[in-house]
Amino acid sequence: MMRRLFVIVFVLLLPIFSLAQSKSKPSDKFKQLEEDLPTPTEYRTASGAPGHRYWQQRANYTIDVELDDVNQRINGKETITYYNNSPDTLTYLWLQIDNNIFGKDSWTEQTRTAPDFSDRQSFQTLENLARREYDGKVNITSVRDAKNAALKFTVVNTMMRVDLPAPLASGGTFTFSVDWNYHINDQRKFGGRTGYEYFSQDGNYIYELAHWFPRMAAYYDVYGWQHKQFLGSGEFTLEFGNYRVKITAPNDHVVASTGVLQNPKEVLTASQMQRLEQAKTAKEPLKIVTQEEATANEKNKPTGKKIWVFHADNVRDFAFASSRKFIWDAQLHSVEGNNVWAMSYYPKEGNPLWEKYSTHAIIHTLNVYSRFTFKYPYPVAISVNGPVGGMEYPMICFNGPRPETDGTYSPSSKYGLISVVIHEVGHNYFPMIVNSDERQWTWMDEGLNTFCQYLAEHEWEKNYPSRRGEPQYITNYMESENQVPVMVQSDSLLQFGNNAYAKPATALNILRETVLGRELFDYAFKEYARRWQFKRPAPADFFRTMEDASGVDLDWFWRGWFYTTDHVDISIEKVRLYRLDTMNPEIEKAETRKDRDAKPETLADKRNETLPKRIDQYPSLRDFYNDYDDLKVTDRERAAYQAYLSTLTDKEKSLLNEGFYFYVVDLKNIGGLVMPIILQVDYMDGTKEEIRIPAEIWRYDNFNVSKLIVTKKEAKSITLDPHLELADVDLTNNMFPRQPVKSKFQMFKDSRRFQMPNPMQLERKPNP
Amino acid sequence: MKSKAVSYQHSPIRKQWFAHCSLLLLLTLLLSVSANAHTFHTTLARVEYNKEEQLAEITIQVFTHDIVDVLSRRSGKKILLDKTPDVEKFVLEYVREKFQIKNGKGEIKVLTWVGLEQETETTWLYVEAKMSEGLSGAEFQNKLFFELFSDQVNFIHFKSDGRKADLIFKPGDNFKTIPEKQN
Repeated sequence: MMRRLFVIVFVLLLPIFSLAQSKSKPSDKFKQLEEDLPTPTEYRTASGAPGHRYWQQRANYTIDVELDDVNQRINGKETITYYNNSPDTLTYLWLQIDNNIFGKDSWTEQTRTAPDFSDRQSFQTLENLARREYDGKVNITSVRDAKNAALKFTVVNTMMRVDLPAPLASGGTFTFSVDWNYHINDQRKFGGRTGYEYFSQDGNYIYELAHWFPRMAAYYDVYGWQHKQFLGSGEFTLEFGNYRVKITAPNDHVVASTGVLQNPKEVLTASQMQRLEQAKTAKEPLKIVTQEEATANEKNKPTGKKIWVFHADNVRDFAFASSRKFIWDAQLHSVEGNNVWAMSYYPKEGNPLWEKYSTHAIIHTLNVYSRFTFKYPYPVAISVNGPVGGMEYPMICFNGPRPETDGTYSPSSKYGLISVVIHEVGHNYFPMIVNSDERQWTWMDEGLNTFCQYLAEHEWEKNYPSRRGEPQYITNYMESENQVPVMVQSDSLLQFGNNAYAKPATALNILRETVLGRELFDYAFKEYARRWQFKRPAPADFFRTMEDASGVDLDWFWRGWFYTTDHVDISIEKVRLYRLDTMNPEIEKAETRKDRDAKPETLADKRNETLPKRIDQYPSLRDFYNDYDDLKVTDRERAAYQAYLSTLTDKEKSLLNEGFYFYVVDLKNIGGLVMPIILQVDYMDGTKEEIRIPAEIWRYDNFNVSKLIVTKKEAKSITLDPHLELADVDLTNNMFPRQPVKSKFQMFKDSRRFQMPNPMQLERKPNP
Repeated sequence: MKSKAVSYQHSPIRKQWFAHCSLLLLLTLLLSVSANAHTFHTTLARVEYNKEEQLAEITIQVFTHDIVDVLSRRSGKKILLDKTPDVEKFVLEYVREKFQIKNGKGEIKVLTWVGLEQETETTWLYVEAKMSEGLSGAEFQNKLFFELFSDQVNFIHFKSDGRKADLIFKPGDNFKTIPEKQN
């Protein structure tokens, strides 16, 4: 396959750089990112760590809330103590009243575009349309200062501004209270991250409460007040603080909450407390409320109320769930010495999936994530099944997947549940503890969490069906013309999904597997998490920390993956072979003879073979040259060779005889993203070799590079990116010589040809 | 759901209508309950032209939850991609309704079923269309899941003869021609 073209005399062991003049400026892609990143300050250093003057605000809450199970309402009173740790004087405070998103006249509703009425609408939809009377707007009935004097406040859709009676100086605190109430939304009808689910079969509700209290908006050095409206997709960042919460619920409800229960004797039964005691040393999740008990409980009517008291320290939010339908299981699990209550709460409709997998998934997540970041610092980690599909809060998350009503479940339900529990519990780390601003930089928590989720899934079982990290699955998106760079701040939907989740997760995976390697990456990633736990990092802090701790310049990587919409498409354009001339006439002439003999005979020659020739008729025409064999080795040549050899050192002699092959591989960067190069050389003798080259090879010419490979064996083919690590969108130019590459479509179609039509029918068993 | 006597508040007709419209939109927007509450609504299709067999080969990447949801609503019963008998028929019927191709002459090309592959969150749908006339001048319509989400965005990525192009579809969009831009 490889033809010897011509020979060279000396050995080169360095890469040859392309001599072609390139119009593009060299090193554009390797330009340092410092010019684009914000200037380091006393709050955020150039190495990506919190500065010596780093500050953040704090808010402590004391809340009394009643869950009205008869009218599906929340009634609450809270006292907030706000600490102004900033260097600035504040004259007003902003609070978030996120539940106003469910108000009839909320901006979310007003900013909707028209639906496509030409399509069939379900009857349910139209009925809801016609019968709506729900208004989830929050009624603020009182805002007072510590002396009970009324404070002026202004509600702006989902935000509320409280005007301070006197400016709040740096270092000061301000205490005030708010009373409020609202009608909880039917989550099944109106969606959202909170709400109730009504079960018509037993007449009971599951309540999942989030953003249920007016809370402080974030104020920080990068953005000042985070006062963007809550429109439903961009989320939040909040301040850390201590919460003291009293939840009044029907006395037959089980309440799951952020924090630690302070008064178990008042709210739990004797047997529940006893079981919790046993769960402290259990090796598997133990039922605190069994399915039988929960099912029986569903038929009850409450005879009064109970007050559940929870304390939570250093959390940025607070959520809870409540129902008489809950089955409750628990296991006390030690995470690097910290005892954590891993607990799940779910109705019987969640079984058998939930009792089998939920608490196990919680524990697994804590184990894996803690290894990659920091020891889980909270005392509790809860997963609740209710109407909300998947949403995270400190120490508690809401997860929707359920099995079918007949109790069976498909693989996708099973893995769907495990994945969502891992993802939501994982969010405790990002952003609940590493408190990045989700509204500004969704990828900082979603992308990082999705990446960690992928790591955890692959430690759950072999061949866990997750694709979130694999580079090859992002190629479709990255090839598209209509991307927006990850770092461009925009509310455009074009950016949201892939840019927040898949692209950053893929980028981190590539950084880990291909660019830095697992050891370096894991060390740097852990350092980032350690530096910023319980603080609020910005993107530059992440980029800088990863470099600072790994010792590897990653600016080209961040720039390419986060600041541009380039994709990866690297091509092997050509491979040239050079052989060393041994100078030995015996060998060289024999090779030439072989080449000559291998040349095919022309048609003309074949036909002319039998024609009579003149020199046969007239032998006197023959001379020296008719019988001369230019490839016969002469003594003179042999002598010349020996003379040449005597001029060489032993080292040079052995090099001459080694028989090296010099392959020059020409690579082209078509997609724009510079990446490390991974080449697999397949030899004629069946063996193979992998060569990994750092991305810096592109630093002189970002688009064309030539790499020299010296081998002792003859190569059959060279493949770029043999393990599909690079998210290369076009695999057809990755092999030399070119091989046809089947598209995903063709591979699927071919695989189907061998399947019986409709295997489901052949295997269908009656449902139990 | 408890039934109550419904009484409308007295408000101008226009405002009432607007509020109702908005509700539908809010409803349809927020109704998706998928693996994350941070839902985004999109599909990504890839269309490549196979010259040897004169086929437009179409791969559509969708969220498993969305396709199951829409099929269940249409049929009125719970659909499972790996269990429900004849599910592929339902999928094809849906795709044919929402994803349509017209050739350069304006004739609708029939989509034939190739198969589907379900992963946990993503499902891949494979269909093809015989198009001896090639993709030149062809028009596409992609209304997948528009009836579910007012913020649905569908992408189609074309690859033919080494040329690449993209189309985006949002609710309200109709047939669009593949841009002629050379890549």
